[in-house]
Amino acid sequence: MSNLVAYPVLLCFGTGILQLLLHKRVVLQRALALLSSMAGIVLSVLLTYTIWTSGIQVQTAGGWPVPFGITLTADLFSGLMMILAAVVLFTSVLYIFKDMDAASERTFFYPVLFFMMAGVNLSFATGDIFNLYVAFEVMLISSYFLMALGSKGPQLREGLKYLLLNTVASSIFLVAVALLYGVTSSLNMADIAAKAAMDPGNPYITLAGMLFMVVFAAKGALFPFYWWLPRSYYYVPNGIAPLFASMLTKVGVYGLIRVFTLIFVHDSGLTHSLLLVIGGLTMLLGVIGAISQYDFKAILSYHIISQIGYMIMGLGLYTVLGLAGAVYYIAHHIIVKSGLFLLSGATSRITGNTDFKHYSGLLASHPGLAFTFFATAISLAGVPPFSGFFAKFALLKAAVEKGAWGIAAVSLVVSFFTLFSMIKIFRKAYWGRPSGQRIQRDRKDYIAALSPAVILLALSVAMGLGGGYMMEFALATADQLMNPAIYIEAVMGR
Amino acid sequence: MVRARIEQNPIVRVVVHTSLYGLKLVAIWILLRGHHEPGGGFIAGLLIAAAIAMQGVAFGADAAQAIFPIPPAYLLGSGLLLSFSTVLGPALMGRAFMEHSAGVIGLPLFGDVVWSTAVLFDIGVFLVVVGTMKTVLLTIASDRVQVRPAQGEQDTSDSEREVS
Repeated sequence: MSNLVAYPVLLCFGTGILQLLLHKRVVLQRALALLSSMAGIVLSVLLTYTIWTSGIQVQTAGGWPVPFGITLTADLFSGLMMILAAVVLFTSVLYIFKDMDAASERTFFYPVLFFMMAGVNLSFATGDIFNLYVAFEVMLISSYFLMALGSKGPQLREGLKYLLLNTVASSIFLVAVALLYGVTSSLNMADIAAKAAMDPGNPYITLAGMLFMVVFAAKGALFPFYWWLPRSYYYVPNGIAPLFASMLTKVGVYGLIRVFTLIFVHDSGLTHSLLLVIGGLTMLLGVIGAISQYDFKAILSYHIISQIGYMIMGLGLYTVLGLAGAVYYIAHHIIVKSGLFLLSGATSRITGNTDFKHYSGLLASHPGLAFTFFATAISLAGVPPFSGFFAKFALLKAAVEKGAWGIAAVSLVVSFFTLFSMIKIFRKAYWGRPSGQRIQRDRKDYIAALSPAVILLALSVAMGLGGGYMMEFALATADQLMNPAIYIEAVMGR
Repeated sequence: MVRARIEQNPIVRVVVHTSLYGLKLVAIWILLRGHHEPGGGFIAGLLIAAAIAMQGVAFGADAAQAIFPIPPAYLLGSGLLLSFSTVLGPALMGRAFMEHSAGVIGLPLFGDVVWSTAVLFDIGVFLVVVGTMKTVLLTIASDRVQVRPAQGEQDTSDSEREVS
């Protein structure tokens, strides 16, 4: 019973408000952004440490008794997601200082950015299904703004699709929440889970589960709702692309994992098998999309889809090891994918472009950039000693243990194609004879644009070398997820 | 132009001018009776927004600006800050965040009045709604009214140009 669980949300929200009041003073906004993102890391680590030592943290808004007040609940999974969000925000902010155009920076960019992060953190912290909807809306409305920032033609076109899809998905979300409320007469997730457990064969709960699957599949870019992602993320400004790519879809994945390990666990023969199939199709079709592309940012955008497939595979297997793999994979993906997007931004700062037709051979002039990319890329593909290897290994082992040979085979094939398309980027952009235009910038600028990606690469290496500790954490997280009784007890039994 | 014709209409101007006072008073009354009785900051904010819209229709955008003559971004920001302080405040004082306090205070002339920190939250909401609606209304009002060009005449106004 402490307010710690609310602080990461309140921090982002408060920062956004102060930045809104200071919207004419860009320098002060930058200082606030930097301080707040560092404080966010500290707070989220503190929160996760508290959860690790003394169990799931619960607090209700206004101190109302549990099923009535809006509950904020953070278990290890939420804590981990908040740490990742804070780290990505910090590195993105460092990069944004270098790469955001001045006009956008003056147009309420920072307040909206922090409101979006408040929504992201609230999605991780909330223990109330309707509050989850609210958190999603806070995040999405801010993301509509950020996506259209700059008002270029294609941005508005793709932003409209993004808006339409998410509006439809949000309406279905509301319907699903209403259905669940009608069946269980509660909005508190732990309360709903307890009531669903008392009536395990109820078809309406399974129906609500399927609706939630559609909602989170649309927001998390799963098969068959991933079509909006590659093109819309392609046009997001370089500075915010890492946040979009690594955090926003993962909030959908978080929602999926949360409800399908807590509430909808009583018909897992249907729901989790379906998730496994969806996961397989998502990773396969995503990677096929990626190898057909000929543009740095477009390849990376397609890879987001393919990697979400791996996370869903872990959920679909529905064993402790499978979920641990999924948790590990999410951590790995968020770090590495933002790193890659930062590198694509840093590269296009030199070449003015992300299309391979227009440039090649950066290795000779910018070896630091090229090798940072190479290391991050093979981490994504799953080569040891980087974090990607251990994440994929855990997932594969879980699949083999469960005898799910089909998904194991698919995941191996997809890994191979991932490596192939990462090598393709390296070959086209960095290797070969230098060609294409170069924008001259001084060395300090180059290092400043590169350093956020180096920080993330270092984290990926640390997560790989410290794989044992990370795996221990992931297993503990998965253990909590697989035993909804712990969650329910922490919330209800006070 | 429709708007120009309404602005010249004395009946509209007189009706708006007199009803504005009532509208503002009702807004304040609804704002303060909220929390215990139906009402609150959101509805009061919408009433003020209606006042701004009416003022704009009858007397033009400049007159509408004169209601709450603060730039909307600051209205929004200060409203959020006020509400936020009632959320964070209790947490810093060692209670649950968003926890509100209430009590009864004896005022001269009014007698016993119930006070509540929730009213501060509501005033914040009120400012946010007014700020938002003012942004929306003034943005719409500042759009140039499209006049259909006469036949054979080319229209080259800014608002017609396509965004590239």
